[in-house]
Amino acid sequence: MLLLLNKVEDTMTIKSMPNGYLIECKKGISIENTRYLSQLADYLKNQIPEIRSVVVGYESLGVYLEREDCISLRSRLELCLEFWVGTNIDISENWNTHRIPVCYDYSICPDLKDFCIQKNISLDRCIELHANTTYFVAMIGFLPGFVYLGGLIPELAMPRKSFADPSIKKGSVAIGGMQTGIYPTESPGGWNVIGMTPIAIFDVKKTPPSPFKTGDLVIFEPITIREYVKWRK
Amino acid sequence: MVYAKVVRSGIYSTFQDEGRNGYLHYGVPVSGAMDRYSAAIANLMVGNSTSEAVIEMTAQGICLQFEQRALVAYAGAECRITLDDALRTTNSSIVVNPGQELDIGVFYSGWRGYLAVKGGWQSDIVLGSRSSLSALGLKPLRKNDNIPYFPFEKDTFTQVAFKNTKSYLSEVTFHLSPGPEFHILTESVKDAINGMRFTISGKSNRMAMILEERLPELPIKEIISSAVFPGIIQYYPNGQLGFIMYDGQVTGGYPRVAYINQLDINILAQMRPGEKLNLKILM
Repeated sequence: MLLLLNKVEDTMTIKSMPNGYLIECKKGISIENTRYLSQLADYLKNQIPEIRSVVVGYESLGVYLEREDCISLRSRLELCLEFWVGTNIDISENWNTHRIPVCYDYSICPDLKDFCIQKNISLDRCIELHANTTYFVAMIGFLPGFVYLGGLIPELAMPRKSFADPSIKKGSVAIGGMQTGIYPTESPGGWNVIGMTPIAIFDVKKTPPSPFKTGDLVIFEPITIREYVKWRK
Repeated sequence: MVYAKVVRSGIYSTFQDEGRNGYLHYGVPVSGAMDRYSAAIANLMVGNSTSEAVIEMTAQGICLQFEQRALVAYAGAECRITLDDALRTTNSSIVVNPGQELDIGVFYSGWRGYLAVKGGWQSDIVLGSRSSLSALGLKPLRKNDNIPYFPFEKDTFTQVAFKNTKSYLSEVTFHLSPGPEFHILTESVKDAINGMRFTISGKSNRMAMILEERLPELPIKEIISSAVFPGIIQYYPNGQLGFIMYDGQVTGGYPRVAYINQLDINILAQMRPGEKLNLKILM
């Protein structure tokens, strides 16, 4: 590839090399040209993180790239998968159990009353069924920090609403189909809000911003409306 | 930290990992395992990241006596491996008990072998890598050297084996891409390159793999020194061809007429002196 820059003297060519590139700049041998190339080398390294090293020649630059891929990434993947199956690779069983305080109160949970009516259960029974289960984090997605929880008992399954609510509040604990989850921020959504948690489950100021890992456990701990209000302050 | 003692060092055994990044502009070559693929397999069989250092052996293996329990694996050239004289298999993880001797024999197919230990060999790090290079003070293994490693403490263990579908005896043809000085080759020289059968020279080493046969001498015998890359083929003034390898000089003055694919370096690294190969110029 031929690049013609401002002046004819600045003509450079780029040639492919194994795991890199050779840039030729034939302006003759001189201290000016060496300095020119030396400065260009630094500039390229600063601009492109994949560049591992730039070797300055009399009339050329050797650009060496990061990550010598002598084994294609796909091959590495295949090898890893082969060894993973039935091997004794040390896996840390470091699962966390997250206890999330949840307030199940008609005054703050927009869909709770309808939910109990449709399910033909009392509020207490609803709380009992929802909060007495140990859920697992099946997936994190949809929104930053939104956790999809598995393990909802079938009796509590409820299809998504036929029209999405334009604004589900931050902290909403909701049911969508066979899933239950927590809204980390305000968002439109179609899940049925049956609880509210006063705690923030996603905070960009923290490292990591979300405490959840897929495979972790989640337990909802019922709190009263009074406790909820107090917590929110 | 515990140690494995070198009972027999082999012909040329060094520590190699995935190489030394970021020092090429100081003239420090990348180094690292010549057959990155086999080195990676050895590491993966003991549950290591592929970036851990392995012992690279040339032509024949080493014999180590392990102070404490170890989980090791060998991949690469075909050979006989014994543990206290009991035969073991290559391409499979092996538990070594305290005091046992692991003997890796002569390579009868392929040229380089790799021994990994779980946790990686804990040899010296210089400029960010454990890869040996004499110029950096990291020398090949010698008899009675003590090599640090982490003892293997797990009680239960599942043996891991890798099904090796590669054969070192199959016909080798390397496809060549044109290098910066490709234009100095005449049509008849290109025909010769495409048509000849080349032989790996016994003068080959980690700096360059050299082919015995001489092509015609060319009018342009040298260039102003410029960067070279592992995989680049130089055309020497006497007509011989040499492939720059991982310990090769970073800059060179011989015409860079072509280069091979990086993945082919793994294959080239396993070729024995006297073995044949073909070259095919891709246009």
